[in-house]
Amino acid sequence: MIDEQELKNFFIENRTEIPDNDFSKQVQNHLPARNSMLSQIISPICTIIGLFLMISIVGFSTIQTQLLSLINAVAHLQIPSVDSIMTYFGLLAALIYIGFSTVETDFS
Amino acid sequence: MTAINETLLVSQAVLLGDKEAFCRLIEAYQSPIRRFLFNLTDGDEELSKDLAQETFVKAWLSIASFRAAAKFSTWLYRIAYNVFYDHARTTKQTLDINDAKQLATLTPNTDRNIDFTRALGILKGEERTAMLLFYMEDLSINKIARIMNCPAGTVKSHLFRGKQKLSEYLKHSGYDR
Repeated sequence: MIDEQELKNFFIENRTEIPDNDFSKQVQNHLPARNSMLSQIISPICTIIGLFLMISIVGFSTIQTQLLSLINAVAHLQIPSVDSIMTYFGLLAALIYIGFSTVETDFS
Repeated sequence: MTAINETLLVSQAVLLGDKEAFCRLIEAYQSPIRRFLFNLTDGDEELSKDLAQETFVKAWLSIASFRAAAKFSTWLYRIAYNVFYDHARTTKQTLDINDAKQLATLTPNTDRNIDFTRALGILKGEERTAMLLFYMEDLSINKIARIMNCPAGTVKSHLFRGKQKLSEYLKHSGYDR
């Protein structure tokens, strides 16, 4: 009967080291792009901090006034002011970015 | 590769998406992974190379889910095992002990030069996997259980049956003479 050591020797005798021969480089060239975890965490955080700073410096009431001015202008078919348009699109862009970043972040 | 180096490279790959760091991990582990897959695929070099590449690509894509509680090599073997069994959907036709005796007597060996691939061919898939990881890759039963996603007791059963079959085969091939 083959004993444990003979069986182990049988496997060890047939254990070979496989040379790389550019295998690693070939695999590296096939690696798809993926977002790093750091960028997925930092970008939304920076956006939220930026929004917070904007609101605290400019003032929530100012932003509210600009948005109301935009709504009034549109309701009366008037051309809204540049400030109100910029405020609207700035907030919209920030919200869209946070939304997409949250959806793409892998929480698994 | 030391544990610290491995941790640093994994961290770079996870946090920074550093392909160069991941490439160094591939260099460190390509030989055992390719050898494991080579023996699982009956010595098919091209197929094992393709499966190994698929293993490393999957590891790259899911590296954020790697938990440092297990060793990186154990996690890689687990992916390689799943890649192989995803590829090999059909059940292997394997021999029982009596057939192993018959096969060995048909090609009697008077020296120790037993065809390794042929010897492994008498084992069922799970038995072969457990035997390779235990005897060739020198992994513990607990690590093998994590790789095969089964209880340690099941791994022991696979090893017991694998040892029994291989011992009979080697004995009738004249390995112990």
